[in-house]
Amino acid sequence: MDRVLAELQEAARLMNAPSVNQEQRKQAESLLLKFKKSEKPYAVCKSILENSDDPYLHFLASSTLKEGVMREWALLGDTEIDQLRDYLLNYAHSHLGTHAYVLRQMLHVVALIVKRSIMSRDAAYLDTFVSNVCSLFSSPNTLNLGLEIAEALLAEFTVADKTLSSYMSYQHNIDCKRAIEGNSLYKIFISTMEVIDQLKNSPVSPHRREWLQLMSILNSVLSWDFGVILSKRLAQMSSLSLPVVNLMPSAQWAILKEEKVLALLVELHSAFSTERDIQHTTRHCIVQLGTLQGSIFNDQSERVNFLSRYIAAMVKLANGACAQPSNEEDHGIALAIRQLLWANTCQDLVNVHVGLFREFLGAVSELSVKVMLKSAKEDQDEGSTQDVVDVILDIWYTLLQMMDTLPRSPLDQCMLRVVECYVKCHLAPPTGIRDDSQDLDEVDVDTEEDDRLKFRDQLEIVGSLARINLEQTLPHYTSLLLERARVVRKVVENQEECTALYEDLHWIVLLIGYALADAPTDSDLTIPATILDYLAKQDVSVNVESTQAYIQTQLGQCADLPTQNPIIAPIFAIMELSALYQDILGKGGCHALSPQVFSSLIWALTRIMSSYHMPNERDYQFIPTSVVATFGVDSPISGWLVMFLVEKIISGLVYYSGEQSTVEDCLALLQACAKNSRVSLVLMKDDNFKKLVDRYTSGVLILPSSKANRMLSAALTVIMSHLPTNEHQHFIDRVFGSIRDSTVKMLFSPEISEVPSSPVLTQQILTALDTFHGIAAGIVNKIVDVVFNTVIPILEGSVNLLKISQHVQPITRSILELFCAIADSGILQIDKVQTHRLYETCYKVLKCYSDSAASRESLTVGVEDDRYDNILLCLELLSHLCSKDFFNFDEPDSYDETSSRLVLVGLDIIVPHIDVELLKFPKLSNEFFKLITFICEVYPEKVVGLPDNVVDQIVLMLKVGLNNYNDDITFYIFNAVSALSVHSATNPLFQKKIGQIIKHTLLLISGQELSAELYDTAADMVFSFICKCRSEYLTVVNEIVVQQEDPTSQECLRTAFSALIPATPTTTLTRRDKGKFSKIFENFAVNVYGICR
Amino acid sequence: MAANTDAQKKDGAPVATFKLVLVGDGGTGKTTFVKRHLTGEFEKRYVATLGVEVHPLVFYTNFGPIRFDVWDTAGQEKFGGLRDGYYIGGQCAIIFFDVTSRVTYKNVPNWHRDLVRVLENVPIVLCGNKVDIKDRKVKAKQITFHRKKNLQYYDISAKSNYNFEKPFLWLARKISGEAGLQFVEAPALAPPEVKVDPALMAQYEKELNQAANMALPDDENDDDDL
Repeated sequence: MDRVLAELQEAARLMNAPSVNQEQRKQAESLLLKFKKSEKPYAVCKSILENSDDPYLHFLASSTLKEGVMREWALLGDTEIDQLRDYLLNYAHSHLGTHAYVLRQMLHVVALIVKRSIMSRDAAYLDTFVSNVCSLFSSPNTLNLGLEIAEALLAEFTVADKTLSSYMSYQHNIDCKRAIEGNSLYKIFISTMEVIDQLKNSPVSPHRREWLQLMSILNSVLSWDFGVILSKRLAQMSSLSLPVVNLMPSAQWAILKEEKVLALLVELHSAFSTERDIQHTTRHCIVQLGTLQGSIFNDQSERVNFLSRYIAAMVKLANGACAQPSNEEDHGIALAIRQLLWANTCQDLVNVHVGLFREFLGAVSELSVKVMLKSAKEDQDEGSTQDVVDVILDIWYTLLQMMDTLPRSPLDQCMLRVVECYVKCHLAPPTGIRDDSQDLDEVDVDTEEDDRLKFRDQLEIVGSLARINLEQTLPHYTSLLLERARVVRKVVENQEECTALYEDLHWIVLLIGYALADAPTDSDLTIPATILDYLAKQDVSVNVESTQAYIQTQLGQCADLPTQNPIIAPIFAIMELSALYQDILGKGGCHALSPQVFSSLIWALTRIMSSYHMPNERDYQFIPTSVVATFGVDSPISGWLVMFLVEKIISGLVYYSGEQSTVEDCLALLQACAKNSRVSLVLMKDDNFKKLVDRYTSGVLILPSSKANRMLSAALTVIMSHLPTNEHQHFIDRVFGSIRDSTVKMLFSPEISEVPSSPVLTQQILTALDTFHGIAAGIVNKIVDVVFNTVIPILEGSVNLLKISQHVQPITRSILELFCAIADSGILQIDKVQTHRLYETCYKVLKCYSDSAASRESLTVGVEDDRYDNILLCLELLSHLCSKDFFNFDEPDSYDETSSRLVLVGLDIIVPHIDVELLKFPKLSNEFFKLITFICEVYPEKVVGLPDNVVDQIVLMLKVGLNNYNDDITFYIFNAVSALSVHSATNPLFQKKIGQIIKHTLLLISGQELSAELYDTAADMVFSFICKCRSEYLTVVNEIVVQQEDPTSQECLRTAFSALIPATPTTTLTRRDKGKFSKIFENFAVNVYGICR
Repeated sequence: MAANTDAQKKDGAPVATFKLVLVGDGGTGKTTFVKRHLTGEFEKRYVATLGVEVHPLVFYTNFGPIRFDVWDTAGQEKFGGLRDGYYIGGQCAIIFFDVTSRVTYKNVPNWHRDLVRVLENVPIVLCGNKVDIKDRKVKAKQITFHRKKNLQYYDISAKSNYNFEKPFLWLARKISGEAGLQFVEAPALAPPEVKVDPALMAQYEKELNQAANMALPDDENDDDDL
């Protein structure tokens, strides 16, 4: 014993010494790990606890006891388990001064033992234990211990998806949670409240630790999820947990709705003003109490009473928060208010006394303004106040959705105030208070998000709030924009420094863009309902003639706008600034203007025009007269507007040709125009657009990025799709004919061999590949033939190019990307003959890549990255090709043969280039196993019938993949093996091969080396195997059993494995049977834990 | 600053040393993050950590050098080793999750619970890694756990070095109690390759400017043709 102790002591010392080498540490670690896994470690652990004075070893002993008792649970009797539990409790009691982490680890073991014991003991087991714990609260000497045990119990018994104990089945975890909800939880709560009552009048400091524990227990109870527990599968699928769980206890908890609980929490909250940790928890308790709901309220009046008291408390706290600088306090109060609104309906709120509700709105407004003003002064990177702004805006958005029921006044006034304050925070002095001094740091291009994205949620809410008072806000935005637009020209002429001005313009444009258009989904911009309603009631007419006169003579001169219509005027203001920009750009003022503002303008035009310009009547029940008159398809202005937009796009492409994001924004505007068939048709007649196309066709237009090239050709392809069918070929010949012909010519001429050595030719071919990539991506049903015929010769010629340019990675990559693009967007639309031609070309390109890859690998620098990129693209290509079978509903059998053969052959080509090292790239291994699984699921019989060497390779990959990478991959593999099991019933040799995967999985489960989340999928796989390959299953489990030395373990395993075999043999794998088996399998996993060695 | 005295400054005086425990799900980028400091390399490949690796990271502050012995622990259960056994003696901690994987954020409460069972009252930073990836799954708004538990939160990107020093700076300030503490020079353990970065960046910028300038006059002249 002494020797063991000395060894452990030394290992612990090495483990924790700051300066030992990794090797020594690894050795020490492995000794400690071996100890943790030792059989029947109880006596040694007790001896360590009693004889060693090293707290690390005490911790180790506690952890080892935990592992031991959980592992050997089935082998231990109730008496032994109870003795161990009591030993730990007594030890903790007699060593109260020991290190907190040792004490907690011990009590964690106690809590686990109690939890696992519950189901096999009588109903009173838990209640008795909890009563004993609560009795410790009454003596000052044992209070601390009692609180520690209570905390450990609550932590162990909570069921919040991931916090489940993996030593027990899911059902056991759920049953335990229900058990503690019976009486024990309430008992702990009441006892805690009693202690609080006693302690609250004495000073905090001597009881700081106790207060922390008390508030933490209270918080655990108030955060308890009393709701219905989802089934395991549903629980796993549930979205991210919310910061707050609604408190929905049974009627037993009536005390929570009484005045005294809230009053006590508020009192404690102010008493702990100097103790940040404790106050933090108190604040959270208050938030939680605000979510109280459900059957605890007998009628609505009880509910409204509680709500009114809570609102009154919030008014006080919010007013208090306004007087102090604490960010946490702001956040806590805002959160409490938001959760309160989320937990109550507007019918409840309406019943709160009008005066109180008005006071409440006032307090929330004050807090909102305070928080926003503070955020304007804060370093954006820290972002802590921005979180609070988010919560504040959520509050207003929630109130906005209740507007139909709540009294409109003063709610609308409060919202106006919030919008005005938000605007103020984002504008420079003197109008606003934005602090530009912190923006001078370098901007990290990779991670710095565009304001449009970064503030999207905020801007969307502010947009909605602005629309409530659109008669005030939109004219305000319009005049803010015009005021600044008037200064721009002067500033440019005088060459003044004007960052603040541009930042202002950028923000006002964003505000207008978000206020005028709404996007239910990202690509689906519409005129918001509030605006339609407003215009339906009081549409201010637009005089088309005077507007026409204005756009012809005054646009860009910062003259007065032709209309005061609150909706139309800001659109003209955006156009005004765009025209001004273009004018200055045309006069060589590019260097003085901000590209960001130009980008924002183009973005706003895209947003506004997608919803207002030539709107489709089918999208709306009603389109207001002013919109129809100005932007409708028959309005002369709307036709002119197309020209206007084209000019802006061209300006962007020309003057900001080096600004990648600006150019891409311009092309996004073109894509938006292309999408609308009415706009498209006008566009094609526009002279400037024709010139743009000519410039593009003749190769004069240089775009800054591959993406931009692809966007432009995709937009042009979409525009083509709106033409009558007989014009498609003409269009494609005119626009892409020259690049198509020259590329085809080059691809099939001897000149092609010069590409790799000539940078000019390389660039030329890359640009061409981008163009065809865009065309392929723009494919829609109406233009399938013409697009396919244009792209296929390029694909065919690319095979040879790939061979020649095998060392020029950009070309290899572009070729593979082009194949992916056509396979992705076109595969479901092309006909049988086309499909065959595509398959053939894909086969050739994969084969060519494979042949050339061998020589590529001899190069060293960066080759692995390239190999990674290329293999990934090959796998993606195969996945796209697979989808033909999956979605081909018309002719169910016609493609099956070719497609499956191609994919299998493709895999055969690619698999030799994938090794274990390459599979360490997460994205690649994911794509690879996804594809393998897909094939195994869709063509299992073909996989089973493949030649032996290919089968061996696939099985080897599945085995390697199992548990070596991440859980997603293990998940795929289980699914693949399930599918294969079903189809290998008549193939004993194949069964033997996958039997090894089953064996490996069973061993992983015994060693608890498999995430509990995968048990269901593993169960499906094992069930399929047992049902379809029963005799092989028996062989496999027998192999596992005979490897064990200990007869008890052998017996235990034999029983566990037999229990998995269904009583009546079944070969039909029904959902119901699978569900039943899943539960049996989970118990199996608990029973075999730790037995296999 | 309370600290160990094993590490020595160049002049022989002790360097303040703190044990930092790094936890979080497997694949969230803990090892990449630590190695970033050591080698400046970004690893795309994933190699799971077994048990624990300890990396000493030195930062120079206006209060003198400070060393974090970063205990980079295994995130995957199956490679877990001693798990919470590594936390003991930790003076601060960082919990990692991956903003492109929801499940790693869902697991944060677990890591936190296990940490605070062993480490009482130590400063903890929550880091959402991989913010450089455009396909972000855990939005900033959904990250609320730090508020609940009073932790500091940072978006980071091991790939692009974004906010790399922020967690260390915050921890250093918390541990030392010096709100005015600043890092005064580049991390000490970075090998010379790191020094290439500014030059590379400058060259990159130059090329960009050249490209922009070249494109402009050409296109301006062409404009009339449109």
